[in-house]
Amino acid sequence: MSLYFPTLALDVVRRGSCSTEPLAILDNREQRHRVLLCNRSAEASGVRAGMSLPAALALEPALIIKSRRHQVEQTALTSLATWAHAYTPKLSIAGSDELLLEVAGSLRLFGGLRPLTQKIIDEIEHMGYGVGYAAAPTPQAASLLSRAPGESLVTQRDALLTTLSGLTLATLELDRKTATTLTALGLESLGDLLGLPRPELKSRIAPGLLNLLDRALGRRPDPRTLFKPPVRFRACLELPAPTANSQALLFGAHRLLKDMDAGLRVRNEGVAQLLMLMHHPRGRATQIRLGLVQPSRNAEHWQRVLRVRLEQLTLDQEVVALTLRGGAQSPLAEQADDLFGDTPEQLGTERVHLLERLQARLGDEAVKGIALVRDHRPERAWQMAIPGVSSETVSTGRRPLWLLREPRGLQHPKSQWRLQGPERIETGWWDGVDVSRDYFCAQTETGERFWIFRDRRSRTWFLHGVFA
Amino acid sequence: MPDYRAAERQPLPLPFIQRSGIVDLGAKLFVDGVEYGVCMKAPDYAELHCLSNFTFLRGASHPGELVDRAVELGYRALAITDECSMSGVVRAYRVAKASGLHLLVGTELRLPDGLKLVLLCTDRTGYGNLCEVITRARRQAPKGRYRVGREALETGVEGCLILWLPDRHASMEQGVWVSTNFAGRAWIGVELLGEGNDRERLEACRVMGRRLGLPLVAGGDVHMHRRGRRALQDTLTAIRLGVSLNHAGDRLFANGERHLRPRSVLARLYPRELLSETIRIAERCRFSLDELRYEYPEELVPVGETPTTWLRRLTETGLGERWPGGPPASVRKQAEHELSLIAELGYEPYFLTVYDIVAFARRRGILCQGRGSAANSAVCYCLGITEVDPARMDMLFERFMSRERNEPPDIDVDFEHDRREEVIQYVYEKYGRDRAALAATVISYRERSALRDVAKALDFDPVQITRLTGQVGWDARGALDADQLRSAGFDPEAAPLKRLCALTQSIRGFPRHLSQHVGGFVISRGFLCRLVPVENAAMEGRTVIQWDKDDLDTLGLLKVDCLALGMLSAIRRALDDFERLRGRSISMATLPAEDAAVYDMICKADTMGVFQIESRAQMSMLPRLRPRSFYDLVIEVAIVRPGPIQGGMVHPYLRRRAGKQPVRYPNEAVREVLKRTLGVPIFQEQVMQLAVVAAGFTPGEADQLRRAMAAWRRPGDLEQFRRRFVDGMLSRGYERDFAQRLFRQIQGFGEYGFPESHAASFALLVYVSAWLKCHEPAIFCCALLNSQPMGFYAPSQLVQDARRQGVEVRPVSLNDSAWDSTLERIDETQLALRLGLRLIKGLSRTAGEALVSERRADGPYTRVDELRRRVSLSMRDLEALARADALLSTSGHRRQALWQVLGEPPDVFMGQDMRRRPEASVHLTAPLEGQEIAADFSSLGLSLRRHPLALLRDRLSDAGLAQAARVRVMTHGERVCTAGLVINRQKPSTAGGIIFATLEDESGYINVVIKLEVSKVRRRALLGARLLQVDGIVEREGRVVQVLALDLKDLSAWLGDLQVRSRDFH
Amino acid sequence: MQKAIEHLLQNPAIRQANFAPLGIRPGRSTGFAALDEVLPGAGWPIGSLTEILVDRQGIGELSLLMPALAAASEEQRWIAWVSPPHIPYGPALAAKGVDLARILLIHARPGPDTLWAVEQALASGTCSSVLSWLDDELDNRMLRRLQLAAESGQSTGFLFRPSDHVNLPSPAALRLGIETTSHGLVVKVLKCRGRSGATMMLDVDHDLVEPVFSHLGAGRGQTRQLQH
Repeated sequence: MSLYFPTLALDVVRRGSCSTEPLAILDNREQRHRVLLCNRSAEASGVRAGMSLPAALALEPALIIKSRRHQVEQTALTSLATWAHAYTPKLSIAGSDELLLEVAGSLRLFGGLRPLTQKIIDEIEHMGYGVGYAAAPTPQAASLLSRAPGESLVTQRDALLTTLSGLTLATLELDRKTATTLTALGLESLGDLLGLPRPELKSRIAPGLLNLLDRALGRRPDPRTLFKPPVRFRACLELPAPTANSQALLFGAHRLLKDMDAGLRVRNEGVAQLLMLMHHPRGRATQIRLGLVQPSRNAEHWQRVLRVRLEQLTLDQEVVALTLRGGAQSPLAEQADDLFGDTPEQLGTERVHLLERLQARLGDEAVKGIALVRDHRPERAWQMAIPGVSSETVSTGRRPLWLLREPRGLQHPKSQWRLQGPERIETGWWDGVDVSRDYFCAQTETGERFWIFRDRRSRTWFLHGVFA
Repeated sequence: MPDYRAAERQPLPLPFIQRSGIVDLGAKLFVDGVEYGVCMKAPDYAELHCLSNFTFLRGASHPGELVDRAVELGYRALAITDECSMSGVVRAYRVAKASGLHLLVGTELRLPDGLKLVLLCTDRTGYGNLCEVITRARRQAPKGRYRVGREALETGVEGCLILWLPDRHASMEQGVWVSTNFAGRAWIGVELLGEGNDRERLEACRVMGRRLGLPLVAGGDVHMHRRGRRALQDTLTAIRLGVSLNHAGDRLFANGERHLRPRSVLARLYPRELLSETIRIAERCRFSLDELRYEYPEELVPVGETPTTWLRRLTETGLGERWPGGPPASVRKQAEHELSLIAELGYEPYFLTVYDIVAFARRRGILCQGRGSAANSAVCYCLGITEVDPARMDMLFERFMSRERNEPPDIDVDFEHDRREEVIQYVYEKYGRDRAALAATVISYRERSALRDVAKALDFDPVQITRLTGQVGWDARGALDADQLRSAGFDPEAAPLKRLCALTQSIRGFPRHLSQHVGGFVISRGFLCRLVPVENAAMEGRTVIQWDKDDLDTLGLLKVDCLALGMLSAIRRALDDFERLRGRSISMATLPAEDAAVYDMICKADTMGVFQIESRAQMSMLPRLRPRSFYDLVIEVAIVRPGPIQGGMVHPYLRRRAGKQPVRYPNEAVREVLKRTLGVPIFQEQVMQLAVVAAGFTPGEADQLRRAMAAWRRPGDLEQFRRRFVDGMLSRGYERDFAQRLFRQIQGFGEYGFPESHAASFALLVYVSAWLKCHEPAIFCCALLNSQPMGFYAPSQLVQDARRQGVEVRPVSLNDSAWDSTLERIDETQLALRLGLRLIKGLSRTAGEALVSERRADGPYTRVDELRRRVSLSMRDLEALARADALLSTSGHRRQALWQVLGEPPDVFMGQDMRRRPEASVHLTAPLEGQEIAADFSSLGLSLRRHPLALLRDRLSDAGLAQAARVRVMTHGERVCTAGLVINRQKPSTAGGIIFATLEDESGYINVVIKLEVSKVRRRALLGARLLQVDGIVEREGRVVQVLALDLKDLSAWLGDLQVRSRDFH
Repeated sequence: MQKAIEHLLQNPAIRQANFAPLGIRPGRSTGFAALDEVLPGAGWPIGSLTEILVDRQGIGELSLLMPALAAASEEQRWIAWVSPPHIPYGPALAAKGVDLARILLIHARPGPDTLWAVEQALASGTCSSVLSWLDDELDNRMLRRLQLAAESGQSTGFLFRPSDHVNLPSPAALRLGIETTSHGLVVKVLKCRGRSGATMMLDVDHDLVEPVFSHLGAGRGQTRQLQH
């Protein structure tokens, strides 16, 4: 059986909202933006697929425009495949918008092809996807039939040729050149094509097309890669006795972490997020979410992170069971396991561990690095960053080691102060923070050096830094 | 600001603020010994380093703005030192001359090793050297860039002063190079721009200057005339870097100091001696652009002759050729008058130069014709530059050259469009690349390009930019229309939009790059690159000078315009065919004049394919104006133009011509100006003369006015002229309404001025092409088809028009067609038009020509494999032939033919018998008529079968839709429903949003007028339909019939996949 | 076991031991010859605490550390700043030769969190230097814990404290008091293992300006000379 999602790019956007404002998805493969798909309300204004963006906007000025996002479509298709797994273990993803299901084995379970099809289609439509579908003895035939209007559920191989012959050439989704050639020859349906003598046809059309027809008719094998649903680690542990003791809990958790480590080791994958559920005799389970900068499977590492969190936690109920759920798995880079594995380009594991320990207790925001930003405005010439990020060095004028969080107002510098400057900074008009300042290095009569400026508009003075 | 919560919670330990924060406000602050913020007495100053916006995407002020500001600030002099360019100096010169500012000419150069220099020329030699250095630097690099090394400067810049502008990476070695190579004329330029280390910079320069023995001089690194251009300068920088402002970061300037600063401010920053040094340098620079004198090429005059005697001799010869029996006395007198004026002003070499080029074209059989203010003179007619017989029309062109204004004569020569390249190559060859180059055209920011670039710099996303450029127009003040912004979903009050609007408005008119002028050559006696720098154009092998047409005008330099005109190609082809097939030769000048049949045809607006008067607007004017003489054509050509239309002069003229309004003149002076156009100003020079005789302008001022219209200018300038113009006319007793209309007409000329002489040249082409269409429709249509692309109509319309005139048109065929369309004899007089292979889409010219020459050598083809054997054709070519139905004679209908060519080609090295198994014969169904028509259109763009709508006629009649032929005879005010293929849509800028569409069916054309209220609601049908139904009201004025649309409907679905393309002219 | 020893030998602090007199652990050069001369390890002690007692800001108190921090940037370890009073300004640090990729800013609530963070950083072995501002009075037990942490992590711990803490006992290996005069920064060595106190004037050019012409003029002073 083939499930074909012609409007997937639109559906992934549309299904999230109930509004019916005109909407168009842009095909952003080329430089020139063209409408790939649009909803009914846009169509009502005359917007059509293939139209250029300016033309579409001319027809419907209120058009909402979204760029196509292949990643989102792939995720949607994968989750559809995962869902379809409930109906058959044998299925594959074809192209970017189609699922092929081997349903022969599931027919009995669902009471035949018709009820099964009905159930599948109902559910898909309920999920908010537009779908074309068909069943046939070969996957290629099902795929072709799913693109044609109307329903075809072909079960007999003998009926295949007749059914396929009725399809228009458009269902083959041919490249432009082949399509125009076939049209110019006056061929309109698959039947016209199949009616021509094979050797003569073979020398005149692309070999891929003939292969495709052969696969559709079952004259050529058509193996497909089976889809494997993604797995996530999930394990439970019943505690021998209810406890609120963090050591005891940590011990139990360690078990689960070890299980996970073992499970992930085979695929050399790690996780960056874990969810620990602590089940109580009554009420909702207490949750601890753990996150790492880099994915890991190392049980000891996770254990250290968990320990900090458990120590901070006060449980008002005893815990009877633990559940550990892993986040998305991703392949691990080859890493040395030694403790001081300082590699120049990469943060060493230990350095990361320090970060994670600190973040676990103080919060993510409390542990930061510094990066430079190429901006003339002093307060924007730097920013908080992930620790370890390198910055491009830029040369600037005289700058103090301490910068005040906010410039602090000064009344007027003393006449005894020694001023050097000014350095005039006036920029930033485009983002609404247009500064216009004269900066000076000011040395007080007692030897301190400050970085002060005069705002050129308000003519007032501010302290902005300390030459510490 | 990133989160800094933890620190925020702590009180800031700042004891010093409490301790030292409060001081008395009266205290004075001294920075480096100078009291901060206090203005000093203003010393003399000359700015020696200043970029205009001709340093593209760096400079943020027009040259004129810089000059004006320098005058305002009391600068003693200003140097324009655009980066490796002289493009901006003439504009600055124009303004500086008026205000008396001492203008220095120079350039900023950056060397690959990081050296940054400003070169200023002291005299003509220095200027020539500088131009040569710039030329070499530009010619060595791709368009828009330059490359100059030290060696080029070591010997090449005598007569120039050098300012060295050391940057952070400056080295002593660089300084030594500067001081040894330019001893006595080099300085260290000290530019103090508030970067925080000004004092250290000055000190470091002083140290360096002492060690190198180089004096110091102050400079401003000026990029803008006022600090207020800072935002614009940042925006230009971002555009130049190709990033948004948010990402431009510290590549923008840290502040706005790079403007022309008041002298009192400079006094605070610079030591006195650095400022006075600028004056000393300025005094050494005595060069002025006044000194440039144009020197004509010498080789055009044979030994023993002077330009004057030679021009006279050529004119005499021409008089003899044009009038073998001797010229009429009036022409003789006119020629004498012109010759003496030319001699007085010394313009003989210019006429000789144009003559030489035209003579070359004539030798090569390239048709050409001159136009422009000087073109329609007796001398030009004698020299063969024009074909407009001065005896044929009332030659009153005494103003063809102006003695008072000493404006150089202006002659544009149109050549056949597909052979102009030969002329250009001739000029390059004759004078050499060193002496001939094309004038530049300054490509400037227009509304849309400005909006797009600024929006990008401000980080608007591409969809928003499309919305803005596609949906938003400009209001009268040139700002983005607020209502349209709102309806496109933008908030015009939001800060980003305000920024966008303001910047877009100020960037408009900024030059972006130099492009080549369409054909304006500058030819000099000596090296051109010592007169003006020459740089590479985008087109391979083309070079342009750094000045444009206006700059050349300002300096009185001459250029010869070699332009391309498609109609000349068509006329030349038609005249050739005429001679070949009719056995006698005619030329544009010898064609029977004032032929009544031709004017009859023109009056019926049966002018498809005729030069100029084939447009929709012209066609609707023809039956009203009813031209009956050559001069009527001159007026016809000039009247359907933005100038007369915006001036509201069309209807008064038509009424007076029809005798419905008396022709009156307020006084004799005006009568003199307007007498030939019934008292209504139509031509550009009439309006300019009126400015003189009626508004009291001097001829020079009138000319300034004309220029102000032509170039994009600030609205303020225009307003100033308008007030003077209207007040001048009021005070001389004219009505305000007339004065204002006249001024609007001048504005209308702004885009495309149309003088009488131009119109006369064009009118000749109108007459010639109309004569051909009238008397030789087959020859004419054939010539038009072979000269495509040109004109308003597609081959399909041209062919149908010819068929309506009774021309037999024969299809494209493998065994009958040549590459071009050809004429076949039916009998002694009748000619049939055979369509050429060039109409076939996808067929290469080499393949087409190869198969024709093989056929001519060895006879017709009988089978496809034979064709393959005799001519090497690609599969693409074969398919194209099959689809065009050109293989009908060898292979049957187009489907069958395509099947055959798609098969495997026979092996050339094996005999027929050794072939693979013979192919099974395949019979494909023959296409239906509708399919044939569709295929014809998709392959040839036209069909000789029935009109597509003939197939649909029953269905159309059932729907109550009238044929075009029926609509033509309906009466004014009658309701009508009709439909036709949309062949074009026009939205003239002068029509206030009205859209004109032309529909076509098997019986002819229907002109439709769609007003804004209909086009708004039926936008989709109007823009999308190929077959359009129109419900409306017939409007008839004499023979002019059009349908005013009340409702539109898209019937394209009826056409199936019939491919009919509309030619849109928005 | 073998692996652990190898690793220890890679520790830069230990590698330098070969060149120092027996018994005294070499320090991290301060970048100021006069100061190095009076310090036992010829520099800031490694694996120990250094207290800097200072009341005023803007006298060069951070510039004093910059040569050492610039040199420490060569190590693949963090330079941690725990609860600094202002923003350590990236552009200035970079100009002083400090690699910003080494900087770790830790903001903790005053009190136990801050102390915990300092201890973690010192003990982790992944911080070459830890700068901290502890205004509260610290009991000796707490300071001792930090000293032990510094030792186990082979870290140089800098504690900025108000000068009135001078009379409180401290296990720190080095205690400096700094003051300013119109001629420059005055550094007083108050306590120093194995040495007696000293007082000296240092030129820390703490508002150094980059030269106008980098290929001409003088170098950038002492910070430059430190970087080989």
